[in-house]
Amino acid sequence: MGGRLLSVLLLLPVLGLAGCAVSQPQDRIEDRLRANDTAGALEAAERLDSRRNQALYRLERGMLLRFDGDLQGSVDEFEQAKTLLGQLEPISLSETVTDWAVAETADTYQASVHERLLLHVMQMLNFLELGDVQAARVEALQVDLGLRRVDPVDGAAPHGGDAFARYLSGIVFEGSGDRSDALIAYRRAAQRYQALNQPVPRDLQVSLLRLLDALGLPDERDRWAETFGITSWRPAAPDTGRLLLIVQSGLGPRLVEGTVATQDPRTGQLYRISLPSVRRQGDPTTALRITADDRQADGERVESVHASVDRWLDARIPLLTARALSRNVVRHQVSAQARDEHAGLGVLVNLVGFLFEQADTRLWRTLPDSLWMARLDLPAGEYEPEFRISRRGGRDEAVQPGAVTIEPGGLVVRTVTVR
Amino acid sequence: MMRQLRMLGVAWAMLVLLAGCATQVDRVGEGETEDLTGRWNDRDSKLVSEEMVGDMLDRPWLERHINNSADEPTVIVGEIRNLSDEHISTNAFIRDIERELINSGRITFVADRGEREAIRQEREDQGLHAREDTRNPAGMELGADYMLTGTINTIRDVEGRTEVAYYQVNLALTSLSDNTRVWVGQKEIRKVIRRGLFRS
Repeated sequence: MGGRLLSVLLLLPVLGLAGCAVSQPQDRIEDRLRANDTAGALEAAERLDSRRNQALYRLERGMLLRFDGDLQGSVDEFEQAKTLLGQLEPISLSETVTDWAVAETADTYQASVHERLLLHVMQMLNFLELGDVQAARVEALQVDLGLRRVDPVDGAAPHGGDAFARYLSGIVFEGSGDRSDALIAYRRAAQRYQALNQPVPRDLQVSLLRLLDALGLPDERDRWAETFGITSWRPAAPDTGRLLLIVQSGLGPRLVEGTVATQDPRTGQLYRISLPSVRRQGDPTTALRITADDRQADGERVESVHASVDRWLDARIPLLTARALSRNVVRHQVSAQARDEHAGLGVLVNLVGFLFEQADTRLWRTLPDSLWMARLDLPAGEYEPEFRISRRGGRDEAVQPGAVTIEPGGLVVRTVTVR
Repeated sequence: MMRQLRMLGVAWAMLVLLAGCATQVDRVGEGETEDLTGRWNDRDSKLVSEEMVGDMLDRPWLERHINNSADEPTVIVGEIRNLSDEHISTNAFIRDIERELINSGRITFVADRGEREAIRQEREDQGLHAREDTRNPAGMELGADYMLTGTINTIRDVEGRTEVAYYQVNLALTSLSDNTRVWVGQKEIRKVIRRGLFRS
C-alpha cells in the first residue's frame, strides 16, 4: 500500500521531467530562427554537441551556417556529417538491445534516407552558390550512388525526397555539360514525382523534352509530351545561361511526443507508451517569380520535406510500438523482482523505467518545410534580377539579390529563406 | 572482506572502461598507408603521380623533342577534372605531378596561369620599387611546349556490405604548337571495401 502511494506521489514530477531533455536545444534553435537571430541559433546548437547527437549537431550547424551565408563553413559541417553517418551504418548490438529493453532515446542519432538526400541537396546548392559546378556534380553522383545502395533495382528512396534530388542532379549535370547523365536524372525525377503523387514541375517537364529532342530520342519525347500535355516548347539557345532561384520556405516539421500512461490498481505498477507524431509548421510561400529585364519565369514547390517525414514516420510506427511494448514487459519483470527484495526498491525501479520511456523526437529540424524553385534562361550578360515571393495572407515580398553575370551554358544560383 | 574485494573489482572494471576513452595519436611514416575509409587518399595521389610521370618520361616523345629542338621540353599542367563521385583535391594531385616532373630533371616546368599572374604583379612591383640591377624585366617568360591535362573517374560496384571502387586516372600531354597528343597515360586503382555488419 505504501509503495502504491509513493509511486502516485512521485508520478507528477516524473511526468514533468520526462520528454523535455532531448528537444530543448532544438526548440531553442527554432525560437532563435523565428526571431531571425542565426548567431543565437548557432549558440543554441552547441548544446547538441554530444557523442550521441554528433551527426545531428553537424547537420543543424551546416544548415545554420548556410542561413548565415557562410557557405564554405556549411560545406565543411555537412562533409563531417556525411563521414559520421557513414560510420553509423553498421548495426550497434548494444544500442539495439537498449532500444528493445531500456529506452528509445539512448542510441546514436542516425539520419533517415530522406534526410541524407536533403544533405546532398543542400551541399549541391552550397557548391552551386560558390560557383563550383564540378563539386556539385560530385554530390549529384553521390545521390545516385546512395539511392542505388538503398534500392539496387529502381534507385528509389522509400519515403520520398529523391524526386527533387534527381531533378537538381539533372540541372547540375546539364551545367557541367553531361547531357546524357542529365537526361537520366530528369527522367528518374519525373518518374519519382509521379510515383509520389506529386505534380511534375513544369520546368522539369520542359527540360526533359528539350534534352530528349537534343539527344535524338523522338519516340520517348512524344510519350512524355503526351503525358505532360505539352504541344510546343522552345529549344535551349546555345548562348544562354540559367538563373536559378531556390526558396527555403518555412520551418521544417517537428516530432512531438504522445504518451499513454496507466497504473495497475493492484500493484501500483506504472506503464507508459510514448510515440512520436509529426507536427507540421506550415509553408508560408504561395507563389514565386523571377524577373530580369523583360523576361520572367514562375516557380513552384519542388520538394515537400513534411511529406517525406510523414511517410517515414508512418512506416516506423509499428516498429516503435513493438519496442515500447517490449520495454514495458521488461520493466514489469524487473520491477516485480525488485519488489520481491524490497517494496521501495520496486517502486523506484518502476519510476526510473517510467521516466526513461520517451519517444525519440530527434529530427533535422532546421530543414525548411518546403523548397520552391524558379529557373530563368537568359542570354549571356549582366542582369539585376528581382525575385517576387507571394506569401500566405496576401503579402508579397520583393528581393533584389544584386547583379548577376550570366555566361553561355552557365548556371547562377541564389537562395532566399522565407519563414 | 568479501565486500572490500567486490569494491576493488568494481573499481578495476571502471578503470579498464575509462582507459578505452583516452585519445590516442599514432604518428605514421609518409610511405605508410592508412586507408581508413577506402576513399581516394594522399597515398593514391602520390602513387599515381609517380607512376604516370615515370611512364610519360620513358616514352619516345621526349627523345624526339630533344632531337628536334636540342633542348629539354617545357611543360605546364593544365586542368585535371574530377569526374569521380568523391570530393578529390585535384590541387594536391596536380602538386604531386608537378613535383615528380620537376624532380625528374628531364623537363623544364613553368608556372600555371594563376601563379603567372601573381609573378607578373611582383615583376611590375619590382619595376617600381627594386634596385635597377636586381630588377627582372617583363617579356622574358618561357612559353610551354606541352600541356598536361586529365581526368579522374570512379566506377563503383556494391553488393551487400562489399564495395569495389575502381579509380581511373587519365592524363594526356598535348603539343601547344599543333595540338597533337604526344602521350596518353592511364592508371587504375582498384579497392575492395568490406563494411562490417556491427559497430560498438
